[in-house]
Amino acid sequence: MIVPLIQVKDLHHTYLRGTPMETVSLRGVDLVIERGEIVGLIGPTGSGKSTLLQHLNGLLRPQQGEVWVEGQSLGDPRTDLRRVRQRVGLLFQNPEDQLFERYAGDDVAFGPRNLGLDRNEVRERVRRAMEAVGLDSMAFKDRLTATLSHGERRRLALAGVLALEPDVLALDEPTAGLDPQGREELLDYLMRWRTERGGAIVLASHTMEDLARLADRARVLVAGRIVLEGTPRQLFSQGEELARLGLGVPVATAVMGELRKRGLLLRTDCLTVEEAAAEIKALFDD
Amino acid sequence: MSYSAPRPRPGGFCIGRKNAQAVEPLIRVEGVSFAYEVGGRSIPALWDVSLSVQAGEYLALIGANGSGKSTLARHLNALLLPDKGRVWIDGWNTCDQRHRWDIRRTVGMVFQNPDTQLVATVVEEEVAFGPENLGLPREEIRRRVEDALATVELATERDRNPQFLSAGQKQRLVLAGVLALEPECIVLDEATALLDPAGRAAVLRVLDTLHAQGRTIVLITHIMDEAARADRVVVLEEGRVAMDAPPRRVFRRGDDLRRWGLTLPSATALAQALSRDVEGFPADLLTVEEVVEAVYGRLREVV
Repeated sequence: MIVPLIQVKDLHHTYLRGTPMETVSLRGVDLVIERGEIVGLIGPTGSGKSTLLQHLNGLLRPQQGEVWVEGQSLGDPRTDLRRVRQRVGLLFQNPEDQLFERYAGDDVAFGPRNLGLDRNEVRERVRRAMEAVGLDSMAFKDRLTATLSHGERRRLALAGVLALEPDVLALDEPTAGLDPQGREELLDYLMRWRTERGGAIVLASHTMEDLARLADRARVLVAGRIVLEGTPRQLFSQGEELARLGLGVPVATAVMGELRKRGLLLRTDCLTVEEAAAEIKALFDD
Repeated sequence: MSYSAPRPRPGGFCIGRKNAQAVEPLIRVEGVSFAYEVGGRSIPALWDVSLSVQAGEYLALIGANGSGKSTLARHLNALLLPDKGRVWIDGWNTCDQRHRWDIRRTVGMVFQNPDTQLVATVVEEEVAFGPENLGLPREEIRRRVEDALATVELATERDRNPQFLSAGQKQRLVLAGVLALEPECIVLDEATALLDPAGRAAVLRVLDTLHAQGRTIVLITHIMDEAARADRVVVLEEGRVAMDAPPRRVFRRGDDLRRWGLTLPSATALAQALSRDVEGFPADLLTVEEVVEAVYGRLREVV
């Protein structure tokens, strides 16, 4: 039997367990991630997306339930978590939680140096990772991290994750705070990364357009439980249900939904501007 | 924007303001250049930026990462002072120490991460924090807290611990704290970037309310569909103003937008695609509602 790349089974997590501040975050989550797959996580803030992502590289240990990465249980104290963290790169929602070196280049180099790679290999990885996120490595490597803008810090944090050359990317809101071109470049890069490396991506995002473009499958998480799942096309055709959960649909999908409400017979599962334009144009051709 | 001979402002807006008879805009940025000095190196962020904002305007500030948006925002309430040029807020020079607090009371700031902006353990106390520090009478503080909580739709949460609010609620609470100082202008520096769709929609709704009340709003965002809601869009490119126009004009310039690191709002992209194929379909639409209306209207004409 081939074991899945990542398997999560009946995972529960409670923050500040046993204190008056106790907060339940995950209430029995099951998730399987196969090689080469891009899985989207959607959900309102506080629904447990970040907590789930932080379990995938062993940053949080399962309190109840199981997480396996390539068949290795992360709850097992014998599992080498250093190796797991090398294989599963985690990008935090907030770059301030991730960046700590004084100089931008050192921050990206931190992971590769810790892997014991030689200087040339470290330098090459830093260059590649920074270019991948659209930071000119010559211009940025000697910049003080503290002087970078919001978006530049986000890019730098992602470069640090990529420099480890992991097989799985667990990304928490990777496009928040990126400028629109940067967002498109990053989405294109992630698509290429998946194809070239054959790795898997788990992506939490509030931007429905990102998920519509990138994800093969998506899970909707509400109050620590998976309440809906399917392809983005299946999910976004349930616009009213998503709105009830405090979520949205891509703008193109919203236009189609509104037109249908007004009596026009149209597909409501269009995800992109191009699809919606083709569908609406057909109305005029008839 | 330039202006020469003083002329009175249109009525209504000026009441109770110092410069009732002058054309003095609420915000006047005049030839501002600024560089961050770090470890003996100088990293330029703004280059000869000039900009005037009239009271009551709803302005979106957009541009690529590192184009100077946040740096410009921080000049608007004297968190940063220009190396060259001047910033005038309601007639006060931001370099004038004596008016620092007047300036900060005139321009309130909301930043990206609500967790770094909240201090109190009870919602109501969070909102009262600012007015208490102004030494206002109790009744006035109470009135301001009530008004601010009502505006941001958090009155029912008044006794809760902010820590347990959702991110969208927290950001509205930050906004309430700013509103309690009764600023004329509110600057939001990517304040919606970390919010979920419902949280973002709620913040934008509050901004519409404030705008309708005559408040001045400066919204920094990377979400073009948000920028399209403003009356006026200012594009920064490498520390300079690249364009300053109503959104319908800015978002007509697809090629320039790409050069500036930006894109079209999705609704505009859809309208443009349709205008290429459907005769007489307008290309300059900005919102879902406008596109829906145009499709419906055009179909009626055709059929």
